[in-house]
Amino acid sequence: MAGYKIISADSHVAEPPELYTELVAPEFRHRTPKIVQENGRTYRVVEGRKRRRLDLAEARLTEEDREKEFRHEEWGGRNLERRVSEIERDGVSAEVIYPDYTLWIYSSPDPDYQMAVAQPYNNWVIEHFRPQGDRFAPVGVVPVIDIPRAIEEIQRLANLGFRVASIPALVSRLPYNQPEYEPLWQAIEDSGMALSLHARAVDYDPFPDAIGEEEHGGFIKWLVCGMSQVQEPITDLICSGVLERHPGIRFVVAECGAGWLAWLLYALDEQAEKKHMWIRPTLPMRPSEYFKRQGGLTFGDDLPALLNISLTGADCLLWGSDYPHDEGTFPNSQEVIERTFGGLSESDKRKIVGENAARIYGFSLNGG
Amino acid sequence: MSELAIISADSHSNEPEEIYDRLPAEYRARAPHEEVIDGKRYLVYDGQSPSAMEAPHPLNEDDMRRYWRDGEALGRVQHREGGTHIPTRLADQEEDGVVAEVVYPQAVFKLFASPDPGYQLALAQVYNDWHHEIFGGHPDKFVVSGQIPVIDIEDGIAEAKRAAGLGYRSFSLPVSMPLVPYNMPEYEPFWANASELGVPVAFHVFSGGPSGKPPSREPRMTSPGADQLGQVLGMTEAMYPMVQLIAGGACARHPDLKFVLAEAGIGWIPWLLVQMDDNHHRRHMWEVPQLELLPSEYFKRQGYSTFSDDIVGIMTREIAGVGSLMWGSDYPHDEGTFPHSQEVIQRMFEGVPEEDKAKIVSENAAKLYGFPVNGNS
Repeated sequence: MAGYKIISADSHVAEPPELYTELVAPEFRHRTPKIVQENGRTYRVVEGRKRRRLDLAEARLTEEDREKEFRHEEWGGRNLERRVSEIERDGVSAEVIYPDYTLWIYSSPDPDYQMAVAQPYNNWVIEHFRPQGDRFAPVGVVPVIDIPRAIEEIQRLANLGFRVASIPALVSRLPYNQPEYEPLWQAIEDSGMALSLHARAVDYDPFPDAIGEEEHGGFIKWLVCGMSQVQEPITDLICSGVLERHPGIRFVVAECGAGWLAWLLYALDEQAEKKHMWIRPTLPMRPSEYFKRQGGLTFGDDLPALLNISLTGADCLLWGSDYPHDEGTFPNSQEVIERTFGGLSESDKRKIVGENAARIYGFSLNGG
Repeated sequence: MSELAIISADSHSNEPEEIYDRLPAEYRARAPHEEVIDGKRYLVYDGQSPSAMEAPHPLNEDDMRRYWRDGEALGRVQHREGGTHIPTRLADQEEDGVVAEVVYPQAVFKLFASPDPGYQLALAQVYNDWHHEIFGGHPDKFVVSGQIPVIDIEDGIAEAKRAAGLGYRSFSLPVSMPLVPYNMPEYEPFWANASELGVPVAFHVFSGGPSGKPPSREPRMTSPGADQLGQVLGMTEAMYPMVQLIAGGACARHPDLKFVLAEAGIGWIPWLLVQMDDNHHRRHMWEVPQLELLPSEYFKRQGYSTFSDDIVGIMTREIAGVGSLMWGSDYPHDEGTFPHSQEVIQRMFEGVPEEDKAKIVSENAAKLYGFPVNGNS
């Protein structure tokens, strides 16, 4: 064991079944996510998204895969005692908790539906994890189509004791460089909560199955290119001056990887200089300085991110296991950390695997 | 001056407007042209919203060296000779320490955004003929990239064959084809053909295919931070053809096919390769088609990417593969390194073994495109 606290800045919990049968208002219940069987096939149906076929991969699962995604039984990561023992087995002592299906509400075009699911989820998740508040920081989910209602929800989350609120990673209809969001940024800054964006939680469904692309490498394209897609909101927040105007905002983009960050910051600084004749607004600091001051990214197994640390610094990187997902590092997190962090100083390593998360989300660093 | 024979694997020329006169009459209205909207000058490309020509901030002395601005009236891309006057061009390259170039177009790239396959093919043919007339006599100095539309795949194959017959050693395809992405089997005969012709396929950033939506009349680049969004994130659009060709299995099925991501930068490539390899293992249950090699192995075997000033990619070059990286000046663009290429190269390659540097600034391009290597090995 490390001798210090390892915190996963990106983990997940499955929504409890009663969220959709009891907690969401009756008139919205029939629209909530469900699994359907049709002609011997299994699909997941989520409003605003293409149907995902689930049974295709079944035959290829290994023993280790069955431990992930809560596949072996339907406990969904909600039993806290059991959750603690699972993550401790993986060498992790605390987690930032994102939902599963509730990340996809942003794909629905209906702001009423989005809020009708987000609010009961938020109520449930904060109460559920409250007994172990120093182990688990649940993330509140905020729909942003209706900006005044989003601001109310942000204030409500802060009052409920949330330490972090998340918004869609990308709003294609109205990108984050637009001035309409100004009061939202102000509300986030005033709330004292961290701001979070989770990769692939966007307002449309880029999954490729509609044209049969899934059979031709479409899945990996969706998965990987969906991570780098967050370069757009990051660039929006920096280059439109949001971070300049709101120095109190702290934001973390989750599950997007970090190996591209040094490149993005270098390229933004380079272009800010070379294309000075086109840049609007003109900002007093370089783009990279805003990110280093206010931004963060989470990654699981990403050697390039750690090789580039002399350019990014260690303060904006947060490790996360993505428990319990296939693409994450559970149950081999210690091995992955061992393999990828070799070239780092002890103090940089401690920041990335725990101290940065403790600072941003208010975990204590005792124990571990 | 370096003793290495430095090759720019990404340079540009400006097409003179006269080339559009060669288009069949029915297509001339679609050709790139200037329009004045609310008193400001814009370039209008078929299928795209108008692009501003006049920058909002003043140009400095250094900027005047680029885009041939010191030669004629100021503007974003407008100088009629536009790098097509060979003696001027060679003098610039000599000053910048560059011995040979891979030359991509400027406005003609935007032909790929047009919804009209007839116009796309007609302009590509006009460009390929004209470019060959200008540069074709200097095969040791210039490799010109032929423009190959693939909105109609059979037309694309025919034009690729015709261009190869003229001596073209590079084919440019749209960086993206949103309606039928490159991982789809429709492109199979094209990859087979390019592979057989032995001509590398380039995906130059900022050359996307038709989106299927009508373009807005609203000018581009007006929202806050828009230049950075377009310029920097436009580079990452090259992630798509890279993932599509590897994950879709085209590289596995056509081991002789070579592809080049042009002006895409290289600092993000190690991340993408590690991530793809990771998913190949961890998300194996979803991988269709199942790949025999690691995704990164296909890239190292068949892929290339060009960059101008990208210290990040040099630091992590082992992961991308030293044989896959090619420097380019992006002459004459503001975002490129002209006329300071030697300084930039010196700064980036400090502490890098000479052998790696030679590959990246010279040998990889020489080998891929068949330039003479001038005694360096």
